[in-house]
Amino acid sequence: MLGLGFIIPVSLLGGALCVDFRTSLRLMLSQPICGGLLTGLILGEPFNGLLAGTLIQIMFLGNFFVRGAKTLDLPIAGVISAALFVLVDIKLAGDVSIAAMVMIWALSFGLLAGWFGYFIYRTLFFKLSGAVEPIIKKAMEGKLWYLSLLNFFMVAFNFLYGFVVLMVVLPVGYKTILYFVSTSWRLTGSVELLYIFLPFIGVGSLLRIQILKSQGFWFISGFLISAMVLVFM
Amino acid sequence: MVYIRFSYFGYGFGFYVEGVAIINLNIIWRLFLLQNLRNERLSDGLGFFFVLLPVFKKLSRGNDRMKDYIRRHLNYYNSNPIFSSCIIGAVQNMEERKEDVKDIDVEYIRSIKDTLSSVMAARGDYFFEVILLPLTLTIACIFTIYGLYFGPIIFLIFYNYYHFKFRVGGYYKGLNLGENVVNLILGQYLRIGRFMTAAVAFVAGVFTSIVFIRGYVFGGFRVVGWGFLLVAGVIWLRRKYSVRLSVILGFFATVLLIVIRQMR
Repeated sequence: MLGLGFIIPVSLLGGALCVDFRTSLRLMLSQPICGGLLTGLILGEPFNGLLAGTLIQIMFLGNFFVRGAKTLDLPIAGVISAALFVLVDIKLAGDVSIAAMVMIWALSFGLLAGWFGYFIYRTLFFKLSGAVEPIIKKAMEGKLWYLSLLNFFMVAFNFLYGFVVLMVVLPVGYKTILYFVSTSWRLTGSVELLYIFLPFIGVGSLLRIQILKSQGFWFISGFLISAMVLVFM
Repeated sequence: MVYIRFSYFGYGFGFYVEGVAIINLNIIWRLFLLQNLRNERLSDGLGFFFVLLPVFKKLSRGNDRMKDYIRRHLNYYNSNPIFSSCIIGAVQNMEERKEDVKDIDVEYIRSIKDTLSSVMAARGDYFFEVILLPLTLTIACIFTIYGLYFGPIIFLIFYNYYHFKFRVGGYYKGLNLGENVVNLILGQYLRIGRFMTAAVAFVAGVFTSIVFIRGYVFGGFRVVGWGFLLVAGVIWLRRKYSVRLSVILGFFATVLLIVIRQMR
């Protein structure tokens, strides 16, 4: 049974990372590679958390959001993947033979929660944005404390959104993964398997960055130097 | 001996060094919430006004003058949130000069604010989102692929160095230099940006070779062939549809391949 002692701290972390991601704090703790490590630290398995967070991060390497146009909740995806992987791994007493299977389920939950979570967030945000108009009007009339109120409301809204999504998804994901790993058919293999195959997605997303076209010399230099080091050393 | 004092100075609490206010906490924490009030009508206009509110309160010294600041600054504003700090510092400098020295008028401040915001928007987005973030994250991911813990720490230090340099340092540059801040910031940006653009391409090349060589060592040309297909598929899907769709489809296609490999 997944206790509240695990769910609440991780959900609080998810809420805090959503504030970093959605407001302009931009300390970048919300990136899945950091979110995964922090989740792992909270749950007592920092390296496993980092492994899960990094896999999400690698897939979205060349994905950048320019002011406001955020299409997927990366912090939520990172925290959910890391938390589910760590918690199920603890439950299975670190059974490395099916670690790849657990990781695949954890990443699937993370990605889908990040995707659907984004649509929920957008719907809620557009509904609430109607409230901004009267506040602009009040501020223009000189009632400036409304601005501070709205600011704190937005921070609280972003925090609560992340907190609630994690509180809902974590128990469901945990039970679902435990159910599937207990069935007769199991995918065997370590997490290393995913570290071989999934980074190709990251290469695909990185190669779409326009500057690589104008900086072809440096790209090829990096490729060749690294290849020589790896092959000959 | 350097004399440092924590005190209230006009806009809020902060630190004085030798009698000169160097860290104005009431403005600094507001800089980090600039984009929090983003909306379709004014974009970041509410956030911009919120950051400078303590300054306007001090300069207005009465309700009627505050209405003048509201009319002039509570309007449309759209720029990069990090580079905005320089603009905020420059506007504060000009507003204070308008009150004290009276060498500039409101129309001049408005035109400088509009020009700076459009210049900083494109440069800031390009530098932070297109260059710095992929560069630092790719380096961090390479470390983690090789099982090293400190990838995220290097990422946070590297990214936030430039983040704070332009967010907090940029505000003080703007405050000291006024409208001339644009030359300094863009000069810095051009110097760092040129090097970083080459660096991100170099690191992307390193990452690509690591991924393909590890794939070859693991499963020979079959895995490398699959890798080429996946890379091409992600690029095509991303161009045709969206980032998230390309990644999610790529992920499930990879899972399917792993399952098929096991079943055979």
